[in-house]
Amino acid sequence: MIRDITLGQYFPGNSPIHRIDPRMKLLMAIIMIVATFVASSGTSFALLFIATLILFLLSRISVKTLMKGMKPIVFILIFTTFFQIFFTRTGDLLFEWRFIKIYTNGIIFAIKMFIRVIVLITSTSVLLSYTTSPIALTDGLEQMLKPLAKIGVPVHDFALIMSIALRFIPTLLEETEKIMSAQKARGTDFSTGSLMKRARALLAVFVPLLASAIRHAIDLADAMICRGYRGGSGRTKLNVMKLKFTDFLWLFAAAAVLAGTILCNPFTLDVIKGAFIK
Amino acid sequence: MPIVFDNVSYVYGENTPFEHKALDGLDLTISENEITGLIGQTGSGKSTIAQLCNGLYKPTSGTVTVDGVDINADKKKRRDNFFRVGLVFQYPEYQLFEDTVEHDIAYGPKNMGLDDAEIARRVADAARFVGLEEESLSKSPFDISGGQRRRAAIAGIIAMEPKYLILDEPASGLDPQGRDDILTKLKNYQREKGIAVVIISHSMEDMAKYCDKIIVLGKDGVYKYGTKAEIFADPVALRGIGLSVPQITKVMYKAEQLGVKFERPLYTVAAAIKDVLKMLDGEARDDT
Repeated sequence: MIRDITLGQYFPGNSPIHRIDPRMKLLMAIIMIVATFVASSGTSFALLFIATLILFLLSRISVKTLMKGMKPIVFILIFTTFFQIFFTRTGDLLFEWRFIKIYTNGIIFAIKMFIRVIVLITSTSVLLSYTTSPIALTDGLEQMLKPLAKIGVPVHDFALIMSIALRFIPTLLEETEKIMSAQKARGTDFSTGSLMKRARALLAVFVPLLASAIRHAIDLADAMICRGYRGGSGRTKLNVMKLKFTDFLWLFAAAAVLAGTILCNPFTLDVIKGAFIK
Repeated sequence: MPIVFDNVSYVYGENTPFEHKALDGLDLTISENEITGLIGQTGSGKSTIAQLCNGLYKPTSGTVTVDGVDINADKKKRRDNFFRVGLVFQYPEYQLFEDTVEHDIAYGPKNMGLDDAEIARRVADAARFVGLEEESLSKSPFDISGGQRRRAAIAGIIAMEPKYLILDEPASGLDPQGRDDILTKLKNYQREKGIAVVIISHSMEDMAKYCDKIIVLGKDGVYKYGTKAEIFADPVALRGIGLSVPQITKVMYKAEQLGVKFERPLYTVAAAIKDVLKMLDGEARDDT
């Protein structure tokens, strides 16, 4: 069923991660992404892995949910790991059988790659999609980008477009499912037949769906005008976001992880050593 | 053979935080050759039952049998169930998509693999039953009125000539005249074809007027199943599960408390008018 797609789905809850300010979560996610890309030594990867594990455990998201969200990238993960193992030709030769040669570096690169992808996906999805409601996320984004409004960027409009789009994803998904069911009840076969036949079957869904999306758009616009919507200027928020002390602690923790990752890299270690030797 | 639910449970979003039990151990029988009304509060699982009847939903546990066959037993025969148990969804007019009303009504029969002559006959038949005029058949479904669209959508299911016809709120959102019109046409259709029709509705008036039997759904399963007289005999209990009896029954109930005796329980305005007139007539004769 369409509703089974969990990638990018919010799971309501009240864990410590859920309670972090969305702006901080956005910053933390950016920091974690940067950290995964600068990490290169084993220690730095271990550090990142532990940090992600802590985030995940604190969020109280079930392993099953996370695994379900990972499904789409499993193939890419296996594919890249495979390439790293079999096509890296540096380091010591570990294993040889006819044309297959496995080197130590291949194994090491593969493990690093694997951790990098896992950490990247887990940390961002735990911080953002699983624990932050889409509305909170766009609110946070709008607040963060507010300074850009001064140079004429329509930040509010973009945020509104985004939150409306996000708001209507479940509605349209539900509608898609309903229309699909209704057409199935009229004998539409979505899963067998030639490509043309299936495309024709989908037409029975797309036409009503498009009509309904337009209807929603008109209704929403009317409703907004009736309630006095005139754009972003002078508009106040119902829920004013306030940064708490703990939010700064979280940001500090994320920054510490990034600093730790950089410090543990062989390159930085060399630089530090060089400085002392001088 | 009727549609039989045996100990059917249905859970939405199993194993997710959104898990929600819609039905729990439901037993239910829908008889042939009559109109069954399915009534219950919002969230009592009416629409879920509708989609279990034709196999769009598979019960989490329990079985649904139609004509003595478990409809979920053979995956390959799934489509046959759709044709045998016609289901008209809520607001079915939003599923119209073909370029003309005629083509849209023909969509179901075409999926059944019928030949052109048979399809043409069925389309004409279905259009006649729901009262669609010749000229609107060649129009785009987006160009006709809301009431006409509703008719076209219902005709689309009728054209498949199902043995069972289930309609989820077929009259919702229509004006009173449109309501009566569409429901009367459905009743005529049922009487002519002798099939089983299930109407899901919130309106006790509609139930009283058009249904032979009524199923009342409570919080956990079927609260009561029976004829109008059996269902509306206890207005207090009905109110207890958030439902009510037809307004005219309430009026007559009050009148009886004031000492006016009627020969039979009354559920429709038409019958009430008849009885009241008869009574007045009798009184007039008594005076002379």
